[in-house]
Amino acid sequence: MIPFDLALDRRRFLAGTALAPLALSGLAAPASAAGRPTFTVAVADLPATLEPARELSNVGTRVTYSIFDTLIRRDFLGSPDGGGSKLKPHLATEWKRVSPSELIVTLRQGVKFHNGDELTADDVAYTFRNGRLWGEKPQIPAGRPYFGILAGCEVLDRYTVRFLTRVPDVLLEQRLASWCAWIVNKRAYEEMGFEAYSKRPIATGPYKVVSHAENDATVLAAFDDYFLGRPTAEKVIFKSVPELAARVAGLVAGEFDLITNVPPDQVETVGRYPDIEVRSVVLANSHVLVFDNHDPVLADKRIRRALAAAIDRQKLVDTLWLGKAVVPGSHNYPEYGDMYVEGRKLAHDPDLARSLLKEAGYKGEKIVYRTQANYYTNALEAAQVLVEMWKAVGINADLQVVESSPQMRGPGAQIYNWSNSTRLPDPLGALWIAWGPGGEVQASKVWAPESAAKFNEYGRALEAATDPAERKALFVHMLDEWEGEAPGTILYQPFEAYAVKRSIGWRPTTFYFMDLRPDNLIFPK
Amino acid sequence: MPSTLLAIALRAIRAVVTLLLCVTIVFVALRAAGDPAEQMLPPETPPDVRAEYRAAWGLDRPIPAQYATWLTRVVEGDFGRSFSDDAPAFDVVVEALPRTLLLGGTALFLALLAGLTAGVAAALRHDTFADRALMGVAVLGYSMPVFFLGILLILLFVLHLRMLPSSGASTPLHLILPAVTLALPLTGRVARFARTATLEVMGRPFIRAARAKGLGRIAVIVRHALPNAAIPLLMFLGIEVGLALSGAVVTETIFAWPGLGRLLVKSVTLRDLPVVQAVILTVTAIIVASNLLVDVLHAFADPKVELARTLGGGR
Repeated sequence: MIPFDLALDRRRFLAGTALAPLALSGLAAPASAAGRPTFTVAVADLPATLEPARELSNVGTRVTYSIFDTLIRRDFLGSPDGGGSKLKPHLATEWKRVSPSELIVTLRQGVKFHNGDELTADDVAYTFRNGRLWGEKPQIPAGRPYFGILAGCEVLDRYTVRFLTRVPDVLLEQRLASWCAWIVNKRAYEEMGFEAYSKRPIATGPYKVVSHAENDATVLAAFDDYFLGRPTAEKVIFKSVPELAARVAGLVAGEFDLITNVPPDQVETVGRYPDIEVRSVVLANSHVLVFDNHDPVLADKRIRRALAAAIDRQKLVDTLWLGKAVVPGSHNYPEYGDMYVEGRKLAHDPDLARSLLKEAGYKGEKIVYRTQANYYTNALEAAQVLVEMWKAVGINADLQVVESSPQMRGPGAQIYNWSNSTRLPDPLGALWIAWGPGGEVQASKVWAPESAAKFNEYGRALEAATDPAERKALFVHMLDEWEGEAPGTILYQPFEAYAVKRSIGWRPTTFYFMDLRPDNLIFPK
Repeated sequence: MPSTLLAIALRAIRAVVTLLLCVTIVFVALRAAGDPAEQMLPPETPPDVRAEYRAAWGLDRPIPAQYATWLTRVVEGDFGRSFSDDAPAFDVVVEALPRTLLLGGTALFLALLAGLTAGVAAALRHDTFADRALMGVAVLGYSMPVFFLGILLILLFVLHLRMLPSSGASTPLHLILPAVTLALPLTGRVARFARTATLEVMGRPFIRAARAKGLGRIAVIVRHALPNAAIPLLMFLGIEVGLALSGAVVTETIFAWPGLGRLLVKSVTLRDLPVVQAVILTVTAIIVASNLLVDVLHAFADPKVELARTLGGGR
């Protein structure tokens, strides 16, 4: 009779273990706070930490932008397209150039950190200290492309600091308004240590961290002493919801107020719900193609130029991006302000492509375009169209879908895709970072050194130049070189779509930074 | 009982070999499938910065050396640190584990409850309309892909009926949809298996004997048929634990359930090798342990079977 008793016991045991955690999990339904609402954002992914300079990806900056402030504020929303590049006082009230490599910054007085400390020059000097973002062995190596140019940041008095750069740097003010320039609290950083601070940072932003679990949610609470006024939401919850259908269903059902990463083919469907609006923005980023100079066929720049000329970019935008992506005027963007070169275009010229091929004596050698299927939105669809566009001018093009980036760039690579962000609104913050001698294309000789020589010459001159007219002339030369040597070409600037409750006032920016400051998150009364 | 001890020892060695094989395959596959410095850093990151991260993560060393170091550390109980947030990989796994156990446990409980009831009921009404209907539903249940079923349930209960939350794990209500999604295919399989096991037992001589001595229908089923049908079912459940865990990978992603499955998907995407390896090792250990437990229970439940034999040792 043992089996009988045992069977019952086993069942009891199984039932018991299954129910126990249920009982333990408790009833922790979120209580909605009276007064200000809770703002819930469903994101596809959350960052591992909240240390802003460690998390430069789209998922990271989206969250850290509400926790941290910069000395100078880039006024993205001052421009209708969300890509404004004018600078406004923020944690700093003014800044003064003493020389091309020296900037004196005066801090706003009375700004409070989440722990009650007042912001002082010590915090700023700590943020930009040698060894954090720059120097011999920086704590955060990813900070070096932005602040590797610094030679020091000194405290002059309680509210004044001096920034020194190794070489003249016209972009320093823009740097201080952007990536990696988020000010940390010295006392908290030192007391908590790098790892603990990364999980629960203390800063000056409109929202302070309540909890952060990468796989679940980041919960922020209003910081009522915020120097720009009381935040409009009581709480902001960034909830990680990887599945698009779940994000959309949750938004429609009222579980979420805003969802990110709505793909182009879903924009119309999601926008059909009456109380939901899709708000999209063209990103400060371009999808590009790289033509590998190691390949004997592509070693001839005429073939590379033919590949670029054969692309009807506007057709790609109209068919794959609902007409909402943008074909930029070369590696040249309006947010450059005075540096923007008006009237430049990336020509679609099949006749030119054919004649270049003929001139180069192209004999129909196979040219393979490698892409990953899902790394960039619409990459595969665009690749299929591109191959047909190349075939139409007589190029024997073929498509190869690979799993990973190293495979894409591995031996035998001819054409592959990539993206270039405009990190700072200047050619030195985009074209030069991606295609200059410090970037991977030149480092791996994908762009052959002799072909890049003149481009590098102009670029180095641009780094040293401070006169606006001279800078612009150098930039035009760089663009001419880049297009003429054609180590690659631009396809388009993709757009990013958010879906949000129609009644909520909020605008996206051309970066993934989500601005939830009191002037850009407005709830219906 | 030296044979039992030997069997346990052999089984333990087998478990270690299984674990070793698993993590070695994962190590090779992940090293071959991509570079964490490519996946985690923005596309324009300069090569020297990428190289610095690779060096910090120990990826600049030869693969055999990386493997040897990793293995030595694991033996010492150190799974390394996550590349993405530098937290100890094992802690990350331990944090996510209870949620997966809650989800998997609930699903298994639901599947047993519904599957056993349906399976036994179908067997007792063998070859009737009720039997065919129940089995039809069971086939539908286990042949429906989890990702499809999950989205269907979201559309119905979240979008149209607005009864349940879709994503996360903040309240007990959040457990319902993922648990049902994970349970349904299991239920189908349990029902089919319970029906077969019950039918087989019902035809055996001791059932006839029980009936002959005048026991009622219910008493025959509860006291004689079910306990005997439970033995093959027990073996079957040992395998189902593994299936429930693998199903959790998809279910947790659909419902944003913050457990091991989601952790695995995310860390594989990022090529966060220490975390992937810690997850795989943990899941493998759970499956190995559950199979071992089933074998022990089998020997305990079935007087004809000796522990040494179920464990695969000599006799």
